[in-house]
Amino acid sequence: MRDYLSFLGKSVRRAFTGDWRYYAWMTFLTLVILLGLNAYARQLVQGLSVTGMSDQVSWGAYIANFTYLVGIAAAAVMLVIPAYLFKHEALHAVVVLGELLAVAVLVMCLLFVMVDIGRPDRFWHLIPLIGKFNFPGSLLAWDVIALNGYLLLNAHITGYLIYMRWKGETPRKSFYMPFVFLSIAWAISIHTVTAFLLVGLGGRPFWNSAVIPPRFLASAFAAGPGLIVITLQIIRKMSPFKVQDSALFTLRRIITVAMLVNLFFLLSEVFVEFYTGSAHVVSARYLFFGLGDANKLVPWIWLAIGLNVTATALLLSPKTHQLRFLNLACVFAIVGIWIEKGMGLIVPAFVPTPLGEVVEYAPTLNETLVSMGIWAFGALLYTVLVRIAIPIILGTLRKEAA
Amino acid sequence: MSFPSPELRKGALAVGGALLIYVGLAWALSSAAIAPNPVAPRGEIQVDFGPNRLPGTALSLHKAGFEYQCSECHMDQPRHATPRTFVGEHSTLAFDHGANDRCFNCHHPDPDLADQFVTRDGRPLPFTEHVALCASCHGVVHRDWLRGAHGRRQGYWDRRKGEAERTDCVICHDPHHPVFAPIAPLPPPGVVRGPARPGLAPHGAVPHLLNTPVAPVPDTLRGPAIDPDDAPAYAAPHAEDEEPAR
Amino acid sequence: MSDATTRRDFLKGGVAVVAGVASVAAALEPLRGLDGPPDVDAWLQSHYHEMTPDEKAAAIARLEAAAKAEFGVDITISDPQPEAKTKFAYALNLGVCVGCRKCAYACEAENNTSRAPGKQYIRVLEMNKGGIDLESANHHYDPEQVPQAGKFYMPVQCHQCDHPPCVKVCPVEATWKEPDGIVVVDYDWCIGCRYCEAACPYWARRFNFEKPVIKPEEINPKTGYLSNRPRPAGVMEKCTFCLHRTREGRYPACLEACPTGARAFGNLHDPKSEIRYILEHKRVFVLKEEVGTLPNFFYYFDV
Repeated sequence: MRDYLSFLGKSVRRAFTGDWRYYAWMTFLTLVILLGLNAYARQLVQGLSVTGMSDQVSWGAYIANFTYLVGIAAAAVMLVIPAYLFKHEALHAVVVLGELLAVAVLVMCLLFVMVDIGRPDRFWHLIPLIGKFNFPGSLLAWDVIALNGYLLLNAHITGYLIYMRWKGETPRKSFYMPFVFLSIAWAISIHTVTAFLLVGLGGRPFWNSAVIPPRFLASAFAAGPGLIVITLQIIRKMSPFKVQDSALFTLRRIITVAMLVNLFFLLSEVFVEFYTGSAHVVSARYLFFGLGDANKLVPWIWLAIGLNVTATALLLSPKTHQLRFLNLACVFAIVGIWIEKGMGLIVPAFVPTPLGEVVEYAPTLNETLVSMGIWAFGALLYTVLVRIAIPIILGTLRKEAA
Repeated sequence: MSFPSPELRKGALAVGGALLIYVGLAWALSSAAIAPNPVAPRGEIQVDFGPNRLPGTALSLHKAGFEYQCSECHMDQPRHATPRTFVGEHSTLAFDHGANDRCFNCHHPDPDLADQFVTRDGRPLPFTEHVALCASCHGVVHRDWLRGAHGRRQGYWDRRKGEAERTDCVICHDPHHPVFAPIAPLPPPGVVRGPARPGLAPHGAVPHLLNTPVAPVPDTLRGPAIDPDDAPAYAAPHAEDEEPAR
Repeated sequence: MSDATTRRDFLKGGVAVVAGVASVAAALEPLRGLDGPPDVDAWLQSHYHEMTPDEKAAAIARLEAAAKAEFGVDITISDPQPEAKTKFAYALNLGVCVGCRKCAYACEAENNTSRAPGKQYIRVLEMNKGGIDLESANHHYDPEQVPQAGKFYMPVQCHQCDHPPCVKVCPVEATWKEPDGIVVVDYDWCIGCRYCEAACPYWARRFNFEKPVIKPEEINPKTGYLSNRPRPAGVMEKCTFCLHRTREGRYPACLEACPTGARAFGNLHDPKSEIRYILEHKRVFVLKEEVGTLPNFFYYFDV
């Protein structure tokens, strides 16, 4: 216990020290977080009417970011599988960083859900046994379990490994390997459950399609490892931590396959919608071409498709054996999928409404600030976690010998 | 990450800058176009729950408060077999009851029975029995009305707890012009965000056909319309005049 | 480590903490707009199904007092219970509906819904003759007179489905189907996630994005706990077939307001009821049968 407290104390100390670049970065993030907090306080007082949402489009940027981030969190498994199952040396060195990313991203997911609900004060109604938990009926209840469970699993695995490293002991396999295997299945489940949450609604034909969950997974396994590639390169540049190129290129292969599968699913979806031409195509028409003067998403989705196609082309060409092109491809994939799996997936399902009314959605400034605040909080959390983890992994920070 | 050549760096900056401008523009345009409509209480709205009878269709003296019986005038008036435009006391009547366009389809032709209705099979009916008179033609509607599928209701659906007030035919329908008059709709619901848009273009071709106006077809069921100043066909004092205008 | 550096560190730390607290306080400044501290009793109130009669009475007293304080109106909150052998259903005659929207406004007056734009429970759709094509429906028609040539009118409200998707998806069981068929919301239990609103194929639910906007003189003081009592911000609401009226045997407000008698309402278990007559003698249909919601709201034509 004393050990653990001193570990925590050292970690906190470490989190608050660094060079000027670290302080500048953290100050910047804190400022954005404070702006977001301020915007959220305004939302708490006035209600969700400060957002761009309406009865017609009742989910917006918050849920869009949530669905996207669930995918990023699930993608940590793409490090875990090669690292633990196939004993990939280079990836094994960085797997903890990937799992820490999952922790930070899951916290962001929970925050995005929290800011989206109208009565956050009644959050305790969602706690099993104390509140009233509609399990297994509601997919949202499943999602609460899936997300919190995955958060706990990753927090346990990374926390245990880092703590053991700090103590200078060898981690006991029985203490973490079962959880690693569980987390692999669980990672798939968080994404599947989140997709089921949308596709299970018969009244929303845009979502009510069996290709959405697999497409969700495919895009997650492109954007998530893409983000990990970028973060690993930043870590490599900013810290003494050595990330091998082979780790990055393994991820590149994963991203390439995932992007190809994602584009194929997109093609299938678009084909079914437009070739059939049933009345259900109207949401897709809104997304890709707009309905009369209602066309706010059109430039976004074409931008996303352009980015995704360019990223895939880059990944397929030998160019991306150079890291700077790999970076470019990853950024394109991250942004492209953020648009496509975020607003591009959530908003068109509400346009038009089930009764045919066309009302558009765009986030308000307040809503954007809250979202940016949460992103900044996630970045801050990940920075702190990595800042603590790296010296421990490298062995420069450890328990002083008694 | 270091760029091997300044040209490549310039190119990357240009692409990045163009991308940023594109995203910024798309964002600004989409947010600006969806400014929230003010969420304010709406003004008072008068809700008139009365039936939609045509205004001004009552008999003029009757409307002015005089009490009289039909027979007081009609004991010796000539009886017209063909429809004619209403004059005098009846001039404000709006008359459109489909093919049923003779006074004596419903009013008894016999001067002695002028204060009664007549059924299709010739039986006299007192004015209080107007429901039975309507039912003599509109059997299905009458059945629906009896069982609660036609007409307005108020009060209790649960007859153990209270009465359901049911309006009878002539409360809602003017017997001379039973089709409801068009009314002004109450204001549309409005939207909180963005403009209120009309519906999308219909899918089928049929609605377009239905919306094209059709040429008026002459109503062959009715007799020729007669100028009120012309003599009725009965008396025929101007039989040598030209044919009445159609 | 010398004393001087510790003192400097301490000072730096102190300045950082003060600056941090001050900036968080500044960020939270809008919270001063909240009306007082949260009511602990309200916050801890149990789910409707788990309240004892005493707790229910206390909750009703609290809500009545809150309405008095807010609107200056003495409202009564009744809690009528469903009766045995009663299942409500609605039928609407599309052949005679003229699209005057009186039902929507009568509903609004009866149910204390927010007067903010678009909050009415009943949407009247103007559609082109020749099909039931919801996507070409005009929600915002406003001609001089209705009905318009070539158009017909279709009011849509909650269909009180037998397989309600909204109930299925609620994560906290804040909405459920009563034994008499009415889908209700516990306004004091809903967390406002709007999943039910996304799930409803009839767009029958409304969310209070902010406190309902309603003038005190327009409040209907006769309210029901699960229906038209004043609602807080951040929760879902919907048509309840006016259960505070219908459970007392009366017709819903929208039915009484209809000038053409297009609406019929009754108990499906009563073979002599109006609704049974219509179901047995008219060719009825339900909206979006393919989504499998089994609505208790039927449409029919007789002309």
